Amino acid sequence: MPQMNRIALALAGIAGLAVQPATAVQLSRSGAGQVLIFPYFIARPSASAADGESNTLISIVNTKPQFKAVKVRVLESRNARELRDINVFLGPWDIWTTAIIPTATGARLVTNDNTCVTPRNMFSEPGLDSFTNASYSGVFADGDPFGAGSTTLDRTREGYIEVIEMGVVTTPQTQAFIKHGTNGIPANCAALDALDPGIGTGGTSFPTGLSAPSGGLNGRATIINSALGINFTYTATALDNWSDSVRYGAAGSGQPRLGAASPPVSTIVLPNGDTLRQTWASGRDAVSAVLMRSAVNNEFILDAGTASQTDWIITFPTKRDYIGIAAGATAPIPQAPFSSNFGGFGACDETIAGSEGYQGFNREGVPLLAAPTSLRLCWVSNIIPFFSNISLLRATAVAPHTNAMQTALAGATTQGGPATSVPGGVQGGNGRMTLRFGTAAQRMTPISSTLNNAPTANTTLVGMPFISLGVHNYRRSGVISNYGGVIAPVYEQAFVK
Amino acid sequence: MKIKRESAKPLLHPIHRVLSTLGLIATGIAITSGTASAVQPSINGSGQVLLFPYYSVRPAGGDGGDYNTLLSIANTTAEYKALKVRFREAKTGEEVNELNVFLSPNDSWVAAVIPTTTGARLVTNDNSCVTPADFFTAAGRDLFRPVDSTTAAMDRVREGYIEVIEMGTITSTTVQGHMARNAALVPANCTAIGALDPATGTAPNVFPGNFLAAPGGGLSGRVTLLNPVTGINFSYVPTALEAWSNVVRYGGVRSGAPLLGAASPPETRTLLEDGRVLHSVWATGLEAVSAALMSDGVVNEFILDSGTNSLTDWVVTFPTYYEHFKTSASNPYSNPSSPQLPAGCIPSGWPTTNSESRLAMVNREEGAPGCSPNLNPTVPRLSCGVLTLNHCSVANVVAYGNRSLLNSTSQTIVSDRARSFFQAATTTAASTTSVPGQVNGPNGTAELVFDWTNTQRLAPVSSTLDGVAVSSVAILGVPVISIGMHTYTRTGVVSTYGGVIPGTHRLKLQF
Repeated sequence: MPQMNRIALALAGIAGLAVQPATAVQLSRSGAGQVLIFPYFIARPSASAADGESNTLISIVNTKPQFKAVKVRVLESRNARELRDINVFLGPWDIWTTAIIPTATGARLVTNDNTCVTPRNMFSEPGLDSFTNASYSGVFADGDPFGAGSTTLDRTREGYIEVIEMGVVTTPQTQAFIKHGTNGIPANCAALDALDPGIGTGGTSFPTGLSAPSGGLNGRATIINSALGINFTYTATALDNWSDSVRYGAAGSGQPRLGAASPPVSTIVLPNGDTLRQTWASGRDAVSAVLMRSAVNNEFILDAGTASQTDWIITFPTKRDYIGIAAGATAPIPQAPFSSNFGGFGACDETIAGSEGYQGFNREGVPLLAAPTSLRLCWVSNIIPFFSNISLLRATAVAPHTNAMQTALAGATTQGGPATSVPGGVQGGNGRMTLRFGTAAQRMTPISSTLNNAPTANTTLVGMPFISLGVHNYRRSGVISNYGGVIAPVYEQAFVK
Repeated sequence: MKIKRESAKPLLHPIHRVLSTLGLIATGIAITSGTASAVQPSINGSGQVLLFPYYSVRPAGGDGGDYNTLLSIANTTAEYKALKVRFREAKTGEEVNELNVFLSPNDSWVAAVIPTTTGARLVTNDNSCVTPADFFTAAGRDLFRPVDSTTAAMDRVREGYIEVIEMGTITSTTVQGHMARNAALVPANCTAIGALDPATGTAPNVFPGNFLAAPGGGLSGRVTLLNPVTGINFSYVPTALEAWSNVVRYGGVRSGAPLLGAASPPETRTLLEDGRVLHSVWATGLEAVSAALMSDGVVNEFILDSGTNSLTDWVVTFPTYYEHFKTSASNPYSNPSSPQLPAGCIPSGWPTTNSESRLAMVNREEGAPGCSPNLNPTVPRLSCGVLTLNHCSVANVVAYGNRSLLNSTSQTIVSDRARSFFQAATTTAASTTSVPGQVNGPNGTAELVFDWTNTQRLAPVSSTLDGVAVSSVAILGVPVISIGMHTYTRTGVVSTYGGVIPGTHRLKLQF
């Protein structure tokens, strides 16, 4: 093969081209990026010991030939309070795997991966790997409505995960610490602790020796219950071009936030191929912009013959940066597109009311309700149970359907016509549902907009910033298995000029 | 950009409905673009075209049972739509069955591919109209057709891939009335729709006639590969293409049309990883579709944990292979003859020149048993020499374990050397683990690098990058869609709880 001037577009600053990259946070086309958002984890024992427990297995892959400093942050479902925050140092093409499992009262992280983490004793010192309620108890109590449970560790058993590339490690000596030897073990994880400004004792600490993130991270989560034979595997939502500068935060520092995107510019590709690029007042809004969806569509599968259940997951990853605590005289004003502070019933946002905003359809396209109301979503990670408001995932942070919708879902059975090849086949309650956002508050307006690099009238995004997934199961008598499947949703976008 | 205001209240509308169906908008402001549409992979999950990389009805092997493939297609819009649903077998992509499906607003269509004694057939208990109208009632219509009369040819229909193409939106209120459901949820007159097929009816009273407008998109899909005996459920969503055609692309029953390559206009617009947008004009619609699906690297995990008897298969499907080999134009799948390459196979693997550092296969701790990792941190690579996998079918299954999880007969040729690597990719837990004594692999990551020679590429007629003309651009790789599937098993649990991982597809350009 002749020597060619190969240019991987992954690398910024391509020489010799007239056009320089326009850095703007965007959803990844490839599935890999600088930021990974896992919309859900659960680590919960079943009510009956025979039904086992849910675990969530996480795998993070560095698909680039670079050394990376990565933040892994675990947050709880209801109000996105941080449960654990660690830094992971990935060598070229390295993988880090971990699992979230229940403890007697809460949940913890475990791993048997060798990749360096800070704090280094995370997995060796008793208790460090356990999730903490420190961020929602004592002076940080947020008034979670679950009564006595509001500050208990049970709240750590459901939530979501952020993975943020903080920078590329450029110092050869630090790279050598991270590099795995032929025995599969990194050379010197202890030295990385010393470089962490929160742990180390001075000297040259991070972010010295780092350059801007370069992307190429991908992630996979598996929600597993080995006793029930459940395996819900999904991939994380990846953001590219999240930051053009180093965003290092010490282990446990709570930094960097997802909203630290730089510059505060977003790129959205429209269905016809047009590119909408928008400048925002903050990085927080730029991240929200790429996750703004006016609607989500997905299936529900409730076949009676297979005792099927369906749950949808809807997670608002940036919600924590828009709302506060409702109690007290100092309660902040919730910022659009969110409209409620966290209080006695969570922090609720609703779909548009009526058939446009909250409607199901059976398999033949017939609407389930003549006049639906709206669906309330009060948590950060919401589980919407479709079978009798009972969660397939056994989640507690649920957004139940209205009674009218539940009744309609239970009756959504379709009948085979005379042309069927499967006489008498099971005819489940199945179909699909649309949830649509776009109330007066549910929109975001940037500072400016361009379309295909040309100035255009400033364009307001309509909807809410969220990520969604559907999970379903089938059961068969005599088979101890819930053969579960995951269905990625369809999103819609809407705009106002 | 043009703004069309049709109502003073709610000032919004899902844009995908807007682009082709302004006449159907009930409320809201419509935003349309002054630029031509350009085919692209959907980032929202819906589109005009759905490509499902795999179906199977093979006996599963291992713990028994057969795979069935459940198919679900949904119309998420308020439009009436005419779809082509086509099944192609895995080896060479020959059509083994096809039908036209007519979806009313918000309608879904479900069907299943199930095994017969010798082959496969399609079944449904859905009421949506299909043509031929007697597809599911006339003897034999629902059977998949072998590519020739041999027993082997019949067996070939048991695995393959699926194309769903929106041929147009139905604007005729008469035809819409035929599709309307009665109280029993059955369409009013599927027979009348069957009579409009060009093979049945007489012009001008046949499709497309004045009955259709250009496709509007908003189709979504789901496939479940199900083995009820072992409890496997591999559910996945298809690759969706947006803005595939701005004109009607109707094809009558068994007409062979429309092909995937009938995209119009032959343009692509691609958001690159660095935020720039590459807009390209291609010689043909086929090249545009291929360009939209090009990837020079497919990255995914392999999970072969011995403690859970895990297996991993990847499906690697080349959706435009069949059409490229029917034309004499540029073919990104063509390969020069090589002693390392069986005839007709598409290679992936380690670049022969080592001109660029690329991952081929590593275990979880950067290790490559049997190879010597190059410790230069700036150009890390495994000095294993050339590790090539040869994909010799259109829909290929890469089996990482000691057998194919899907029990495929359309398997990628994996060299003994590569397979011994996968199976040795065990990692050892360090003393810091919280899970003493846990099973630890083999598992890791692999990348199929489609970078074999300068034939795995496509070059457009012209391109702009963020609006500025650029010359001599080529997109490297091959048009490919893929998914990875893995299992865990547990003693005492009659289950091989499976999961699907879409993987990462890399895009690379050459200037």
